[in-house]
Amino acid sequence: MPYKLAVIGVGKISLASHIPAALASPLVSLAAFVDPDVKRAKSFADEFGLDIEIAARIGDLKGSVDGALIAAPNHLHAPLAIECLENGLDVLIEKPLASTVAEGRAITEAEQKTGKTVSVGYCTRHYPNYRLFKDLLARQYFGRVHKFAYQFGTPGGWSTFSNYLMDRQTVGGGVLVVTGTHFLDRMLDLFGFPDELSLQDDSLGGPEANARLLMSFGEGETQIQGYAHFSKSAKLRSGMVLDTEKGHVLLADNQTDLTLYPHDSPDIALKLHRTAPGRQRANQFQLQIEDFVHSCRNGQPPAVSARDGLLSLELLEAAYANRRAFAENWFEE
Amino acid sequence: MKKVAVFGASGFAGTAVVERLLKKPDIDVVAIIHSDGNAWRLSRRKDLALRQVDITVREQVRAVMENVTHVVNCTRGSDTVMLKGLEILLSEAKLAAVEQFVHISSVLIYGDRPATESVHETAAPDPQGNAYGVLKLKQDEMVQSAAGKGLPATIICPPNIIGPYSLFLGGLVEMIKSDKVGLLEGDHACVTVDVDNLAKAIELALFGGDGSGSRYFVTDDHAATWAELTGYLCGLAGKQKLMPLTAQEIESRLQTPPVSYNPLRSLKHLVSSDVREALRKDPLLCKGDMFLRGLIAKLPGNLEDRVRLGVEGPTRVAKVDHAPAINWAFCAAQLRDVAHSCERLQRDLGYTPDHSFAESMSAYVRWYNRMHGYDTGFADILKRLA
Repeated sequence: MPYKLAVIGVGKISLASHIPAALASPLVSLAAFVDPDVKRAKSFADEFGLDIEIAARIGDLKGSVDGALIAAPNHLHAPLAIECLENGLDVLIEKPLASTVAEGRAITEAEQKTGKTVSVGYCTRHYPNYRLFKDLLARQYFGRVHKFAYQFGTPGGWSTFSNYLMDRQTVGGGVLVVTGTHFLDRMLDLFGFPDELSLQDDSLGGPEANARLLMSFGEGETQIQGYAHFSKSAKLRSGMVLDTEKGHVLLADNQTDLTLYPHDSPDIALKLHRTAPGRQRANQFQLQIEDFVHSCRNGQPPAVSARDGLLSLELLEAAYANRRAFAENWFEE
Repeated sequence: MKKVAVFGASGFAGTAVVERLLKKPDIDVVAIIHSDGNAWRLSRRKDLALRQVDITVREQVRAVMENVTHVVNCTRGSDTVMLKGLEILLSEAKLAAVEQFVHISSVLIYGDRPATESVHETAAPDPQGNAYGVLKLKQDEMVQSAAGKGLPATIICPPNIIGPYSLFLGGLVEMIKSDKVGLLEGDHACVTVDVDNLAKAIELALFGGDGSGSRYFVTDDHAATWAELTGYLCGLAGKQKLMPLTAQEIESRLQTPPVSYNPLRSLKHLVSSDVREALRKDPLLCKGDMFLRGLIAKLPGNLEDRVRLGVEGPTRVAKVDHAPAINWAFCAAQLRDVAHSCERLQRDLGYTPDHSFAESMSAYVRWYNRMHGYDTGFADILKRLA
């Protein structure tokens, strides 16, 4: 019996990613769209050929639904998630979990109280080469990690129906939240919470367009240094590079393989990939929804739990608390 | 208090204009964007409210024109946006009795090979079939017509726009990295304008233009050469120098072979395997195709092979070209070789550039290095992502 899913917030990310992923999954049946703009939601349902319930609010839903995917503006995640949980629905929340740590805690408390499942939409955890890298790291295949660097940049990006990205309050920050949080989630998953971090960003009171993080993990000989730059004004080839004992390791975003440049053979590059690719060809949004459904049905923790989402929020708040201005003095020597 | 509406505020030029005008205490800036996706450089400012407007919808334009005294048009987009949108902007600006309408044109209105006299604005524009140039010239004519009918307007005509965040320079770095650009032998002009210099020219036109619809070139302090420009960028792209090219080489690569029509060949295309494969998606046509193939298979001897060879022709193996994948159309820009002059802008409006070409390019290099983390201890591993 497919899992009956309601999509709350029929905006650009739902239309481009979540709805196609749900439709592609044999585990899921789309049961309802919930959006204050009922007319627009109905027209999108028609475009997908869906004869489903359309409601302005969760409380207006008449049919039966097992869980909800929340893809509304960030500042609405907490009230919507708590309402769903209190109505007996599991929730998959588009990243970030909420726009503040306090709101995130309220969600985790509601999760504990109701016993329902909460998962956070950090879909990049499902990148095949990320999963491979994490596996190889656990096997100490690359030896010690000395440092890593990550970058992601596009001149501009998503435009939303609600324009919420132009308001620091509704976003809960700027590019660090909108783009950076995906990488920060993976970084927390690999190395844990940094011992030191500093942020440079170019906010002039609104959502920053550039954020550069410097971090360190551990101390002494095993210390790992980290760098990440997220930009909404410059094109940067996305990916992560690590300096390890064995060589430099390159993980381009959303690929099946990773590349090792061994220190002892600088003229060669080794492509690493799994011999049994499994389901890695499936889109990460589909893998994410299916992981959520499995978790709801089997009681196993999801790939990205509410606790993970809360940790990301704590990292974001710690970074913003340690921010200084990103120097833009291009004309000074 | 002057109230300046900047349409297309989230673009490269529009952002620079807004940022410049915001520093003037006697100016109220209305930054108008089409969508929030590209507005990050502006939305990071708390002192600026962005207005979202579709300029092809008259009511939306009228709503933002209230009490506007000056208009800058930096919009780009589809033909509809560029023509219908501009028509609405001009008529609504006239209705609002704005004191000056400044429109951004492009040197491409003089085509890919401008006439030598197009050093000065007095030369007659001729886009020579360049699609963007044709569109920009149509826009210029609309602005000049509106000026003739009482809307004070000025046209600013920039060449390649440089400076930090320049997409032109960013694209060039990428092409140099992938060996898609060569350097035409000799010194050939590459006229540029730093985006801040462009914003300054726009400000001068806004408050000093005579409104007659005049066109002004705006450039940096001197006409740089392609060798100078790419000299700044090669290091960023990890290259020592560019492959030398001759004008003859570029010209010959741009020539497209003449099209020859052959009815028999066209007929063969209709029954080729590619076309049949597409048709087989229809169950009825698929059945028909299988029937025909069955009939042909029953033909005696090697007739089936001869039919197939007659339709598809022999297997063709393309020559493997080891030459670099040069972007010849882009390289042809080096053949423009006309240094448009900003003398008129200097004379009429008192323009002097804020940044020299050298300063602008050094600033770009600094910006690029910082954006890519090359100023940090992580540069060695970040270069793996270059």
